[in-house]
Amino acid sequence: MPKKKEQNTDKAPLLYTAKAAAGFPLPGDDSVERALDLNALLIDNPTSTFFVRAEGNSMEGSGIVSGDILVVDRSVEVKEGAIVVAALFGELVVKRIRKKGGATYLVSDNEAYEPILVSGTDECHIWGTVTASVTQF
Amino acid sequence: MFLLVDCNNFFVSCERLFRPDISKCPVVVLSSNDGCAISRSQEAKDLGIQMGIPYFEIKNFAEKHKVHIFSSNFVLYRDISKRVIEAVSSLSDDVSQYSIDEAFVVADEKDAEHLAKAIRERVYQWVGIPVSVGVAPTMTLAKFANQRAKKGTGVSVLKEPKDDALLLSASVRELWGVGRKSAEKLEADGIKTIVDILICGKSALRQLLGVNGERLYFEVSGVSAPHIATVDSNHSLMSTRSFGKVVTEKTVLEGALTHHITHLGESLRRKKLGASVVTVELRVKRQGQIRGSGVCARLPLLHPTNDTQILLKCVLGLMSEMYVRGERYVKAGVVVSGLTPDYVSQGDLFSDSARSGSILMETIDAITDKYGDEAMHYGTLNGTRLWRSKTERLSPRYTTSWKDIKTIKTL
Repeated sequence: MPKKKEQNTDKAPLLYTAKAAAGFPLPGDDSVERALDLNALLIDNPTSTFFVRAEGNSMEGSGIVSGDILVVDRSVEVKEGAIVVAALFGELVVKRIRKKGGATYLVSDNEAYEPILVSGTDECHIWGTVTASVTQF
Repeated sequence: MFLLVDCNNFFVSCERLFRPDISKCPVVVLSSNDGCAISRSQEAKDLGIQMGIPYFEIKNFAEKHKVHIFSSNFVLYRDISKRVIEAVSSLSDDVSQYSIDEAFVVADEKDAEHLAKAIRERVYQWVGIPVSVGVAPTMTLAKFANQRAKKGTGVSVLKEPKDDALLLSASVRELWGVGRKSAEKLEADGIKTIVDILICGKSALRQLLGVNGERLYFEVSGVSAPHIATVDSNHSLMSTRSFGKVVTEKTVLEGALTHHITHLGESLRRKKLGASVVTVELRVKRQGQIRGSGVCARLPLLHPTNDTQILLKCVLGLMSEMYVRGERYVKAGVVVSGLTPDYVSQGDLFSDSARSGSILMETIDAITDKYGDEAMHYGTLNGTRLWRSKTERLSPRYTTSWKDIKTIKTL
């Protein structure tokens, strides 16, 4: 639905964003748009975003296929249901977060693995949140 | 107030980022060519492995104690360094990078401690690198407070130097900017601890160490008298020139950049300054462009330097990474920034090589002064490779190469 037209337009000051520099004029200044950029789509915070490669098929139920490139953002707050990279007994692994009764667990789509309590120690802590998965065919 | 943000055992922390398996193990990173230990984890320090010790001297010992040894992975360290600075800059507008693993931040006294804690938390959360923050009214004292922060909780605030017993009883050698020579001069005059500096007074210190002595007195007593250029990260020297035609060959670019950095090295030495950051700028002309578009790459240095050999290696390394075959280059230039006076140089680790380097530089300056710039030049015009180094234990370039990204199991 179109927005209601601004009232009192005659009272509002007119603001221009286009520069009025003298010299060679750039034609079509108002129609400039950037080409679509996958970085802009997939990465909110480049400073805290890292890429890793997934291996194994136990997260296929969540759409992560072996060989996918995972986009991992360390600055994202860890939420219920999020897919994360966690450090588990010295190894980085991909798991899903489940919060129950104030505690946080790492679970797997694969039922062969028991849920693991996140302790925040070196044995088990969250490394970052997986915000996207890139599959190349 | 000044905050000195310093990454703990930076190179080791970078190596550990994707390797939680070695988070509790002794880890050592070697200098280029696998020469000597330049970064050690706490566990490695506890084993008695000294900073700067040659690798061959500890090789057997390290194997026996299962020390993880890495070659320097500067590509990785530089990327992580950039992220650390970005994370700090997300909390403050007043950040100047001082070296690859340190930055000064300026803040109001009432916000300083809170900011220090926030920086520490954010850098670890975002980048996974532990940092310590020293907070004090001057840069020298912030550096001192940082050492204390490293041993304690990661943040240390030093507000009143005159009431700080630990500071007052510390050796003058622990002060930033007091090198071996200055320390010997001070000690010969009975000035052994920091309280002695305060008692001695500024005019006596000026007589002893010149203007730097007076500056030291102010810095230690809590009155900021910074080492001029260090606060101003914009302070820089530049040498740049258009080719006047289109250039596509790498060797021509190398020649031009060699020319620029040789000149910059000379003027740095003449001004008695060391550079902490080297930037290479290239201008590329593409179809339909009138002026062309600029590309640039920066390299923060391990230690401030004015040694043309080191600067040249950096410049050529940067250029190799930037160069694209077939691009049409129209201009090349070099900027050196983060300029600090000679005497704050931290290069004590490599003091021997630094000293022989500076003798070589003096000789070259003398020859070119007498016989002109063309009398001697670096051998890069014919494309000599200076950039190869011995790196047997190099870790993957986790953050800059797709084929090197970490593989993680889905469990």
